[in-house]
Amino acid sequence: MRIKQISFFMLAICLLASCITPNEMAMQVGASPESDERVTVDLRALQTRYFESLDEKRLLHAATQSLQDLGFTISESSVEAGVLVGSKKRNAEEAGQVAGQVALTVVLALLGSATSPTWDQEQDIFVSLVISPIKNSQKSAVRVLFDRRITNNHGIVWRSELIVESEIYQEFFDKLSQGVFLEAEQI
Amino acid sequence: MKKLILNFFSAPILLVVLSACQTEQKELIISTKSPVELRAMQSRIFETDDKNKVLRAVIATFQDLGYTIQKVEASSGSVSADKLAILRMTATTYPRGDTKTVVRSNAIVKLGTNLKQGYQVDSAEFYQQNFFEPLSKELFLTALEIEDEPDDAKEADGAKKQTNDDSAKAGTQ
Repeated sequence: MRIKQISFFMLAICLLASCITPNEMAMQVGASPESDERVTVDLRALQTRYFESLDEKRLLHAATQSLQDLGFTISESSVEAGVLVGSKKRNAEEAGQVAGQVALTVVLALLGSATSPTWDQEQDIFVSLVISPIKNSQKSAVRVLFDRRITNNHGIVWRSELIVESEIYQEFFDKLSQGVFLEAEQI
Repeated sequence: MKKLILNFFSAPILLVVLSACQTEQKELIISTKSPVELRAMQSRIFETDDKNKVLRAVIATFQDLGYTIQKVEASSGSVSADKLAILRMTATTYPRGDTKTVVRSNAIVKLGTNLKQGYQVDSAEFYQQNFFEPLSKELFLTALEIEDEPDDAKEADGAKKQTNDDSAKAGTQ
Protein backbone atom coordinates (compact mmCIF):
# COMPACT_ATOMS: atom_id res chain seq x y z
CA MET A 1 0.00 0.00 0.00
CA ARG A 2 2.80 2.38 0.97
CA ILE A 3 4.70 1.55 -2.20
CA LYS A 4 1.58 2.33 -4.20
CA GLN A 5 1.20 5.69 -2.46
CA ILE A 6 4.82 6.60 -3.01
CA SER A 7 4.68 5.59 -6.65
CA PHE A 8 1.56 7.70 -7.14
CA PHE A 9 3.36 10.59 -5.49
CA MET A 10 6.43 10.13 -7.67
CA LEU A 11 4.26 9.92 -10.76
CA ALA A 12 2.60 13.21 -9.80
CA ILE A 13 6.02 14.81 -9.34
CA CYS A 14 7.23 13.51 -12.72
CA LEU A 15 4.12 14.81 -14.45
CA LEU A 16 4.43 18.18 -12.77
CA ALA A 17 8.14 18.42 -13.40
CA SER A 18 7.64 17.83 -17.09
CA CYS A 19 5.09 20.70 -17.14
CA ILE A 20 1.97 18.72 -18.00
CA THR A 21 0.06 20.26 -20.92
CA PRO A 22 -3.39 21.77 -20.31
CA ASN A 23 -5.01 19.10 -22.52
CA GLU A 24 -3.37 16.26 -20.56
CA MET A 25 -4.45 17.88 -17.31
CA ALA A 26 -8.03 18.17 -18.64
CA MET A 27 -8.00 14.48 -19.65
CA GLN A 28 -6.94 13.42 -16.16
CA VAL A 29 -9.18 15.73 -14.15
CA GLY A 30 -12.16 15.33 -16.49
CA ALA A 31 -12.24 11.51 -16.31
CA SER A 32 -15.19 9.93 -14.56
CA PRO A 33 -14.65 9.49 -10.80
CA GLU A 34 -15.69 5.85 -11.23
CA SER A 35 -12.54 5.23 -13.28
CA ASP A 36 -10.47 6.38 -10.28
CA GLU A 37 -9.42 3.29 -8.32
CA ARG A 38 -9.17 5.30 -5.10
CA VAL A 39 -12.95 5.85 -5.19
CA THR A 40 -14.29 2.55 -3.97
CA VAL A 41 -17.90 3.45 -3.21
CA ASP A 42 -20.76 3.45 -5.68
CA LEU A 43 -21.09 7.20 -6.05
CA ARG A 44 -24.45 7.16 -7.80
CA ALA A 45 -26.02 5.05 -5.05
CA LEU A 46 -24.45 7.22 -2.37
CA GLN A 47 -25.66 10.45 -3.93
CA THR A 48 -29.18 9.47 -5.01
CA ARG A 49 -32.46 8.93 -3.17
CA TYR A 50 -35.94 8.44 -4.58
CA PHE A 51 -39.01 10.30 -3.38
CA GLU A 52 -42.66 9.36 -3.99
CA SER A 53 -43.54 12.62 -5.66
CA LEU A 54 -43.48 14.14 -9.12
CA ASP A 55 -43.85 17.64 -7.77
CA GLU A 56 -40.38 18.98 -8.54
CA LYS A 57 -41.15 22.43 -7.21
CA ARG A 58 -42.12 21.04 -3.83
CA LEU A 59 -39.00 18.87 -3.65
CA LEU A 60 -36.86 21.83 -4.66
CA HIS A 61 -38.49 23.89 -1.95
CA ALA A 62 -37.81 21.22 0.68
CA ALA A 63 -34.21 20.78 -0.53
CA THR A 64 -33.60 24.54 -0.32
CA GLN A 65 -34.79 24.53 3.28
CA SER A 66 -32.67 21.49 4.16
CA LEU A 67 -29.54 23.05 2.69
CA GLN A 68 -30.24 26.26 4.55
CA ASP A 69 -30.64 24.23 7.76
CA LEU A 70 -27.13 22.88 7.10
CA GLY A 71 -25.76 26.42 6.72
CA PHE A 72 -25.47 26.62 2.94
CA THR A 73 -26.05 29.81 0.97
CA ILE A 74 -28.02 29.15 -2.20
CA SER A 75 -26.42 30.70 -5.26
CA GLU A 76 -28.43 29.18 -8.09
CA SER A 77 -31.88 27.67 -8.43
CA SER A 78 -33.72 26.59 -11.56
CA VAL A 79 -37.16 24.98 -11.44
CA GLU A 80 -37.19 24.20 -15.19
CA ALA A 81 -34.03 22.13 -14.87
CA GLY A 82 -34.62 21.01 -11.27
CA VAL A 83 -31.26 22.33 -10.11
CA LEU A 84 -30.10 23.84 -6.84
CA VAL A 85 -26.56 25.10 -6.14
CA GLY A 86 -25.09 26.36 -2.88
CA SER A 87 -21.92 26.77 -0.87
CA LYS A 88 -20.60 27.39 2.61
CA LYS A 89 -17.31 28.42 4.12
CA ARG A 90 -15.78 26.72 7.13
CA ASN A 91 -12.59 27.03 9.11
CA ALA A 92 -10.25 24.12 8.33
CA GLU A 93 -7.48 24.90 10.82
CA GLU A 94 -6.38 22.00 12.96
CA ALA A 95 -4.13 22.60 15.92
CA GLY A 96 -2.11 19.44 15.21
CA GLN A 97 -1.34 20.39 11.64
CA VAL A 98 -0.39 23.98 12.54
CA ALA A 99 1.88 22.80 15.38
CA GLY A 100 3.48 20.18 13.10
CA GLN A 101 4.18 22.71 10.36
CA VAL A 102 5.64 25.27 12.77
CA ALA A 103 7.82 22.59 14.36
CA LEU A 104 9.01 21.48 10.92
CA THR A 105 9.88 25.07 10.00
CA VAL A 106 11.88 25.46 13.21
CA VAL A 107 13.75 22.19 12.56
CA LEU A 108 14.50 23.19 8.96
CA ALA A 109 15.61 26.66 10.11
CA LEU A 110 18.04 25.04 12.56
CA LEU A 111 19.35 22.97 9.65
CA GLY A 112 19.87 26.20 7.70
CA SER A 113 16.89 26.04 5.34
CA ALA A 114 14.18 28.70 5.31
CA THR A 115 10.60 27.58 4.68
CA SER A 116 7.24 29.07 5.33
CA PRO A 117 4.87 26.92 7.42
CA THR A 118 1.77 25.95 5.45
CA TRP A 119 -1.48 24.55 6.77
CA ASP A 120 -5.15 24.27 5.83
CA GLN A 121 -6.88 27.55 6.69
CA GLU A 122 -10.36 27.50 5.23
CA GLN A 123 -12.57 25.17 3.29
CA ASP A 124 -15.34 26.02 0.84
CA ILE A 125 -17.94 23.30 0.52
CA PHE A 126 -20.01 23.30 -2.65
CA VAL A 127 -23.24 21.44 -3.21
CA SER A 128 -25.19 20.82 -6.39
CA LEU A 129 -28.53 19.08 -6.30
CA VAL A 130 -30.56 17.84 -9.25
CA ILE A 131 -34.13 16.57 -9.22
CA SER A 132 -35.31 14.42 -12.11
CA PRO A 133 -38.62 12.63 -12.59
CA ILE A 134 -38.37 8.88 -13.18
CA LYS A 135 -40.10 7.83 -16.38
CA ASN A 136 -43.29 5.74 -16.08
CA SER A 137 -43.42 6.05 -12.30
CA GLN A 138 -44.62 8.39 -9.60
CA LYS A 139 -41.10 8.93 -8.28
CA SER A 140 -38.43 11.58 -8.56
CA ALA A 141 -34.72 11.04 -8.10
CA VAL A 142 -32.77 13.53 -6.04
CA ARG A 143 -29.04 13.44 -6.68
CA VAL A 144 -26.74 15.57 -4.58
CA LEU A 145 -23.02 16.10 -4.85
CA PHE A 146 -20.70 17.76 -2.35
CA ASP A 147 -17.13 18.85 -2.98
CA ARG A 148 -14.64 20.93 -1.06
CA ARG A 149 -11.77 23.26 -1.81
CA ILE A 150 -9.19 23.90 0.86
CA THR A 151 -7.29 27.16 0.99
CA ASN A 152 -4.02 27.31 2.93
CA ASN A 153 -2.77 30.08 5.20
CA HIS A 154 -1.11 31.78 2.19
CA GLY A 155 -4.50 32.19 0.49
CA ILE A 156 -3.81 29.52 -2.15
CA VAL A 157 -6.30 26.80 -3.12
CA TRP A 158 -4.10 23.77 -2.64
CA ARG A 159 -6.49 20.88 -2.35
CA SER A 160 -9.85 20.16 -3.87
CA GLU A 161 -11.75 16.91 -3.67
CA LEU A 162 -15.09 15.24 -4.11
CA ILE A 163 -16.64 14.38 -0.75
CA VAL A 164 -17.26 10.62 -0.59
CA GLU A 165 -18.02 10.18 3.12
CA SER A 166 -21.41 8.49 3.30
CA GLU A 167 -22.34 10.20 6.64
CA ILE A 168 -22.48 13.62 4.97
CA TYR A 169 -24.88 12.37 2.29
CA GLN A 170 -26.92 10.45 4.84
CA GLU A 171 -27.27 13.50 7.07
CA PHE A 172 -28.47 15.59 4.16
CA PHE A 173 -31.01 13.00 2.97
CA ASP A 174 -32.34 12.54 6.51
CA LYS A 175 -32.93 16.28 6.70
CA LEU A 176 -34.50 16.28 3.24
CA SER A 177 -36.88 13.41 4.08
CA GLN A 178 -38.04 15.29 7.18
CA GLY A 179 -38.34 18.47 5.09
CA VAL A 180 -40.47 16.76 2.44
CA PHE A 181 -42.72 15.40 5.19
CA LEU A 182 -43.01 18.84 6.80
CA GLU A 183 -43.79 20.38 3.39
CA ALA A 184 -46.50 17.78 2.79
CA GLU A 185 -48.00 18.56 6.18
CA GLN A 186 -47.47 22.29 5.55
CA ILE A 187 -45.73 22.84 8.88
CA MET B 1 5.70 7.99 10.38
CA LYS B 2 7.18 7.77 6.88
CA LYS B 3 3.79 8.73 5.46
CA LEU B 4 3.63 11.72 7.80
CA ILE B 5 7.04 12.94 6.71
CA LEU B 6 6.07 12.41 3.10
CA ASN B 7 2.95 14.53 3.60
CA PHE B 8 4.90 17.29 5.30
CA PHE B 9 7.34 17.47 2.41
CA SER B 10 4.91 16.93 -0.44
CA ALA B 11 3.14 20.30 -0.30
CA PRO B 12 6.22 22.58 -0.41
CA ILE B 13 7.76 20.43 -3.18
CA LEU B 14 4.58 20.56 -5.22
CA LEU B 15 4.35 24.32 -4.80
CA VAL B 16 7.95 24.82 -5.92
CA VAL B 17 7.47 22.55 -8.95
CA LEU B 18 4.22 24.27 -9.86
CA SER B 19 5.71 27.73 -9.57
CA ALA B 20 8.55 26.62 -11.85
CA CYS B 21 5.96 26.01 -14.58
CA GLN B 22 4.49 29.46 -14.24
CA THR B 23 5.32 32.39 -16.47
CA GLU B 24 3.67 35.81 -16.63
CA GLN B 25 0.90 35.40 -19.19
CA LYS B 26 -2.63 36.48 -19.96
CA GLU B 27 -5.39 35.12 -17.73
CA LEU B 28 -6.93 33.00 -20.49
CA ILE B 29 -5.04 31.34 -23.30
CA ILE B 30 -7.35 30.63 -26.23
CA SER B 31 -6.70 27.65 -28.53
CA THR B 32 -4.82 28.35 -31.73
CA LYS B 33 -6.86 25.75 -33.65
CA SER B 34 -9.23 27.00 -36.34
CA PRO B 35 -12.85 27.80 -35.37
CA VAL B 36 -14.05 25.04 -37.76
CA GLU B 37 -11.83 22.47 -36.07
CA LEU B 38 -12.90 23.61 -32.58
CA ARG B 39 -16.56 23.57 -33.49
CA ALA B 40 -16.25 20.05 -34.88
CA MET B 41 -14.68 18.67 -31.69
CA GLN B 42 -16.94 20.62 -29.32
CA SER B 43 -20.33 19.98 -30.98
CA ARG B 44 -22.57 16.98 -31.54
CA ILE B 45 -26.07 16.60 -32.96
CA PHE B 46 -28.71 14.46 -31.27
CA GLU B 47 -31.81 13.18 -33.05
CA THR B 48 -34.35 14.68 -30.67
CA ASP B 49 -36.34 17.90 -30.56
CA ASP B 50 -36.76 17.77 -26.77
CA LYS B 51 -34.44 20.56 -25.67
CA ASN B 52 -35.31 20.20 -21.99
CA LYS B 53 -34.54 16.46 -22.07
CA VAL B 54 -31.11 17.19 -23.57
CA LEU B 55 -30.47 19.95 -21.02
CA ARG B 56 -31.34 17.60 -18.17
CA ALA B 57 -29.12 14.89 -19.66
CA VAL B 58 -26.25 17.39 -19.83
CA ILE B 59 -26.76 18.21 -16.13
CA ALA B 60 -26.96 14.50 -15.21
CA THR B 61 -23.77 13.81 -17.19
CA PHE B 62 -21.95 16.59 -15.36
CA GLN B 63 -23.01 15.05 -12.05
CA ASP B 64 -21.92 11.57 -13.17
CA LEU B 65 -18.52 12.97 -14.08
CA GLY B 66 -18.14 14.62 -10.67
CA TYR B 67 -18.66 18.23 -11.71
CA THR B 68 -20.38 20.73 -9.43
CA ILE B 69 -23.05 22.66 -11.31
CA GLN B 70 -22.46 26.41 -11.11
CA LYS B 71 -25.06 28.04 -13.33
CA VAL B 72 -28.10 26.83 -15.25
CA GLU B 73 -30.11 28.93 -17.66
CA ALA B 74 -32.96 26.75 -18.93
CA SER B 75 -34.37 29.30 -21.38
CA SER B 76 -31.09 29.63 -23.26
CA GLY B 77 -30.16 25.99 -22.61
CA SER B 78 -26.78 26.66 -21.04
CA VAL B 79 -25.12 24.94 -18.09
CA SER B 80 -21.78 25.78 -16.45
CA ALA B 81 -20.01 23.38 -14.14
CA ASP B 82 -16.70 23.13 -12.28
CA LYS B 83 -14.62 20.11 -11.40
CA LEU B 84 -12.18 20.24 -8.49
CA ALA B 85 -11.53 23.96 -9.11
CA ILE B 86 -9.32 22.99 -12.05
CA LEU B 87 -11.71 22.28 -14.89
CA ARG B 88 -14.61 24.50 -15.94
CA MET B 89 -17.01 23.41 -18.65
CA THR B 90 -19.94 25.21 -20.26
CA ALA B 91 -22.43 23.33 -22.43
CA THR B 92 -25.16 24.93 -24.51
CA THR B 93 -28.05 23.18 -26.23
CA TYR B 94 -29.89 24.63 -29.17
CA PRO B 95 -32.31 23.28 -31.77
CA ARG B 96 -31.19 22.44 -35.30
CA GLY B 97 -34.17 22.25 -37.65
CA ASP B 98 -37.35 20.70 -36.27
CA THR B 99 -36.04 17.33 -35.19
CA LYS B 100 -32.49 17.76 -33.91
CA THR B 101 -30.68 19.35 -31.00
CA VAL B 102 -27.08 20.47 -30.99
CA VAL B 103 -24.91 20.35 -27.87
CA ARG B 104 -21.77 22.45 -27.82
CA SER B 105 -19.35 22.34 -24.93
CA ASN B 106 -16.27 24.34 -24.12
CA ALA B 107 -13.76 23.52 -21.40
CA ILE B 108 -11.19 25.68 -19.66
CA VAL B 109 -8.48 24.13 -17.52
CA LYS B 110 -6.88 26.26 -14.81
CA LEU B 111 -3.21 25.85 -13.92
CA GLY B 112 -0.45 27.83 -12.25
CA THR B 113 -0.21 29.42 -8.83
CA ASN B 114 -3.63 29.66 -7.24
CA LEU B 115 -5.12 28.30 -10.50
CA LYS B 116 -5.19 31.74 -12.07
CA GLN B 117 -4.09 30.80 -15.57
CA GLY B 118 -6.86 29.44 -17.82
CA TYR B 119 -6.30 27.41 -20.99
CA GLN B 120 -8.99 26.49 -23.48
CA VAL B 121 -9.01 22.70 -23.91
CA ASP B 122 -8.65 21.80 -27.60
CA SER B 123 -8.28 18.03 -27.50
CA ALA B 124 -10.93 16.17 -29.55
CA GLU B 125 -10.27 13.09 -27.39
CA PHE B 126 -11.17 15.00 -24.23
CA TYR B 127 -14.54 16.21 -25.53
CA GLN B 128 -15.38 12.78 -26.98
CA GLN B 129 -14.31 10.58 -24.04
CA ASN B 130 -14.98 12.87 -21.12
CA PHE B 131 -18.23 14.43 -22.25
CA PHE B 132 -20.03 13.24 -25.39
CA GLU B 133 -19.66 9.49 -24.77
CA PRO B 134 -21.24 9.65 -21.29
CA LEU B 135 -23.84 12.13 -22.61
CA SER B 136 -24.86 9.73 -25.40
CA LYS B 137 -25.28 6.95 -22.86
CA GLU B 138 -27.40 9.19 -20.67
CA LEU B 139 -29.62 10.15 -23.62
CA PHE B 140 -29.68 6.66 -25.19
CA LEU B 141 -28.89 8.44 -28.45
CA THR B 142 -25.90 8.46 -30.77
CA ALA B 143 -23.91 11.66 -30.86
CA LEU B 144 -23.55 12.58 -34.53
CA GLU B 145 -20.67 14.66 -35.79
CA ILE B 146 -21.79 18.09 -36.85
CA GLU B 147 -21.79 18.66 -40.62
CA ASP B 148 -21.89 22.36 -41.19
CA GLU B 149 -18.71 22.99 -43.11
CA PRO B 150 -18.98 25.68 -45.80
CA ASP B 151 -19.99 24.37 -49.23
CA ASP B 152 -16.65 25.15 -50.90
CA ALA B 153 -14.79 23.14 -48.23
CA LYS B 154 -17.06 20.18 -48.86
CA GLU B 155 -16.38 20.33 -52.60
CA ALA B 156 -12.64 20.33 -51.97
CA ASP B 157 -12.95 17.14 -49.95
CA GLY B 158 -13.61 15.11 -53.09
CA ALA B 159 -16.29 12.86 -54.44
CA LYS B 160 -15.81 9.98 -52.00
CA LYS B 161 -16.64 12.01 -48.89
CA GLN B 162 -19.57 13.57 -50.73
CA THR B 163 -20.99 10.11 -51.38
CA ASN B 164 -20.53 9.16 -47.73
CA ASP B 165 -22.26 12.35 -46.59
CA ASP B 166 -25.19 11.69 -48.91
CA SER B 167 -25.63 8.12 -47.72
CA ALA B 168 -25.35 9.24 -44.07
CA LYS B 169 -28.01 11.88 -44.63
CA ALA B 170 -30.25 9.39 -46.38
CA GLY B 171 -29.82 7.05 -43.42
CA THR B 172 -30.90 9.65 -40.88
CA GLN B 173 -33.97 10.80 -42.82
